Amino acid sequence: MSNWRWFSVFAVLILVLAACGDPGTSAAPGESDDPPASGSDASEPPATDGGAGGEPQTGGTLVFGGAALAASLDPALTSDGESFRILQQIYEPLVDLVPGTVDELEGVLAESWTGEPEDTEYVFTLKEGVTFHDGTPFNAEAVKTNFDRWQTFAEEFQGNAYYYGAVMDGFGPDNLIASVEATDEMTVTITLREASPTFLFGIALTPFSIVSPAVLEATSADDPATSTLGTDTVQGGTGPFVMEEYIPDDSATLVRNDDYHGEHTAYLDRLIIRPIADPAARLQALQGGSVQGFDLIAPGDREAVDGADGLKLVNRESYNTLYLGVNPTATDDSSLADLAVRQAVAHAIDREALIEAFYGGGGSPADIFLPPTSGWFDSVGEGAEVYEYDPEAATDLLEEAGFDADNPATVNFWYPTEVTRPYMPDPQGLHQAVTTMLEDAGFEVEPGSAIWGTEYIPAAQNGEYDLHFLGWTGDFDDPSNWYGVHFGYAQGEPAAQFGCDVDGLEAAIDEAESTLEEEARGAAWSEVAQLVHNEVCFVTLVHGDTAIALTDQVQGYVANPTGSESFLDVWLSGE
Amino acid sequence: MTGAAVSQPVEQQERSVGLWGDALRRMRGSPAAIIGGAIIIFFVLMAIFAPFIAPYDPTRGDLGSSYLPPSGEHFFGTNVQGQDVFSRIIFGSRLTLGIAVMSVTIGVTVGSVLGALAGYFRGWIDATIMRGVDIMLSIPGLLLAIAVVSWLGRGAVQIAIAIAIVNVPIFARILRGSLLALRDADYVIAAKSVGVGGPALLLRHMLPNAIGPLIVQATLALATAVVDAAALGFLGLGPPDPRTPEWGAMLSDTYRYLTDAVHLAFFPGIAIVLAVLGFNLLGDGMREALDPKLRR
Repeated sequence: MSNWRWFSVFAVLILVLAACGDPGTSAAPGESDDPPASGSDASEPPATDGGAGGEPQTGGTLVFGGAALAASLDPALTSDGESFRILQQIYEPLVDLVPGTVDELEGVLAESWTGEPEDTEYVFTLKEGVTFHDGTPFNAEAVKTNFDRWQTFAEEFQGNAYYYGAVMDGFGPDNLIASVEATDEMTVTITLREASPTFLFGIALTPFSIVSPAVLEATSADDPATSTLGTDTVQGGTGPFVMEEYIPDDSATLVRNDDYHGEHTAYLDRLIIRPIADPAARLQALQGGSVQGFDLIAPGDREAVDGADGLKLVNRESYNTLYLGVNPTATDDSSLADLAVRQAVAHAIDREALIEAFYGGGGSPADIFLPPTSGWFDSVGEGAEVYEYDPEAATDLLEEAGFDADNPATVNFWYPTEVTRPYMPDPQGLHQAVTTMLEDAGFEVEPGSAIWGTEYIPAAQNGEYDLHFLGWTGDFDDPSNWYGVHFGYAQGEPAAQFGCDVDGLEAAIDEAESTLEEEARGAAWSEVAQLVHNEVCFVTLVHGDTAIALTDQVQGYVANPTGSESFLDVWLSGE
Repeated sequence: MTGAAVSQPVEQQERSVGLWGDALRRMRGSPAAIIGGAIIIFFVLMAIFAPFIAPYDPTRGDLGSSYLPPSGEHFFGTNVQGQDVFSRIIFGSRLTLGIAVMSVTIGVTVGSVLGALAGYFRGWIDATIMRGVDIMLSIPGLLLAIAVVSWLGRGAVQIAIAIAIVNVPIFARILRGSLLALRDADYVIAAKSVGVGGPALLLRHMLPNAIGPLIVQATLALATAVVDAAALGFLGLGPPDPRTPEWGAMLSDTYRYLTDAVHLAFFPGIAIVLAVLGFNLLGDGMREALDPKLRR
């Protein structure tokens, strides 16, 4: 017994010694890994060039790791990126965003259309010769059937049909849609109750995909009690892939639709999507070869993939923003009631350093709420105050407001736990770093944390925190989806989350919401942006990029800022 | 348990070296106890003199110098915040040891009172206390601690109380068991026969002899307390200010960056292992030293 103890003590000592040596040795290979990696980078561009220049090859199976499978297989009842990832391979809307953009539309099931943001009538000329996977011909009646189905959704469906409700201003005969008419076999006329600048972008979302009327009928899709559209493997889409098998929590298996109506059919024979919730496990699956690609890499793992042999990273420019909510009304006699103190908060934060440390470099500083990927970025950002990192200016501002080391400006500052978001990869780490920056400027910070869904979101939205982290991922490219959603007044009261009651803000938002002509709309929203940024109702921090990790074989993957992509153009190069 | 125990504390108290002197003498002969003790003294000194040893402020970071590998400037490297991991481990020993000692003190005190009441009075008091103890023992320790922390809120004292609550039934049961075994010991019967009764019998004659196993258990409980505190920290139930250095929280802070910087997880892990090992070796040594059967 005693001998064994001595042995265990000895073993521990060895471990400790190994520990002292280990970091050195592990750092050294890490460093020496880099040159070969960059060497392989040097040899990689020709390979990818050859790939990109070479003809796409048909064939092969791609196994792709997502974070989850679909919440429902009925596209109209989904609102999350993981569902879209699967369903947009199978189902298609009338129009879609041009891959890689958030503000350019192209026809998919619609050959062409007429209608401008200030119009109330849209006429879609449909594509000829399209058939659903079940053989039903695609025509104007099919479009009308789908639009009517959404508008008359039973109440049980309405909660899940988030996007329809958001875009069409609710459900039923009084919503935005006045009528949908099949004017002839291949023409659909949609009349709106009032002009809506977001209508076209709205119907480009996956939930507005057109499903075969025969399949809707067969699955009794309109009856919440008996509908099987959301759970069964059905052949109801028009997309480049057909659902072959769907095993909840295990995999979605899609095969090529050989009758696809596009310029070419999919290159892949088969696309299998597997749900892997943990980013570290997704990376291991890629490294172990059980998937050939995965989405939403942990920022800390970017380098591991970027420098590795045989792997590559496709950066997805963000369409999101992390911000620091600044609420002068959260506590009585808040120091934040003074504009100078709020400006000090804005000047105290070094956004570049946050991006470097927490986003693996994959992000950009957020000057305004809208990301640069937005088509409205320049027009809305015009004139809004940008607060550069300047801790001395922050300290001066605090002094100006009557605070110093003996009498520091005290703020409470909250972060959410049990969550990561593309715009917020490490809430606690970000909180620590920003707390330190605020303290350096002369603030006294009382930290706090709460559980994301159940405690944090309600408390933040009720305006209970002086400072808090939150972010936003845009649904469609319109400034109202950013500034309007956050700062809109309700019954004359400013949004509780920010307690931002600036003179003229309510009127400016009303004006901007009702201005439809594009240039004037940009200018009107720019007025709103100036008010909230200049008054520091919040401090926009970072647009966080996400990224897809792929093996070198996977070609043709184009990342969309909106978060999910079609695999139509993806192909596998030979070994 | 009988012969030696009878002769030692009661009749020959003046002459003998006493329980502690004897135990100390025997522990000096046990390598396990010496190494364990040395490790613990090392950590205690580290905690006491932390401000003098630590080269950096453990809570100050500079994002510009994050993820530095171990070097002469930063012995254990830096974390994502650019904080010096070496300094954080040194300061972390304060919190960890503090929580461990506080939780075991509370646990021993409350547990002993309950155990003594149960073991001395028997009857319905015993039944009530021991059923309560059984119920608490049926709940997994860490789960109970998590529940208590969620109830009391986050903070070092709350964590100590949570771990103490987990320990209370263990100590109560041990002391009760010892006292039951002593009820029929010759010297207890002798004391009773000359009219010693009530609290005097319990406090002067029975408790001193029952306390050995309690001490051993307390030392071992320090080891579990270190692990439990680290586990709570790892699960995000550590101190409310995330910058407070705490070994378990240091571990969980790093898992996102594990592929970039293994040293971030390695050093706090080793600190936890060493502290636990120290308390365990010391506890084992004490068990041998305090066991009358092994007395030479």
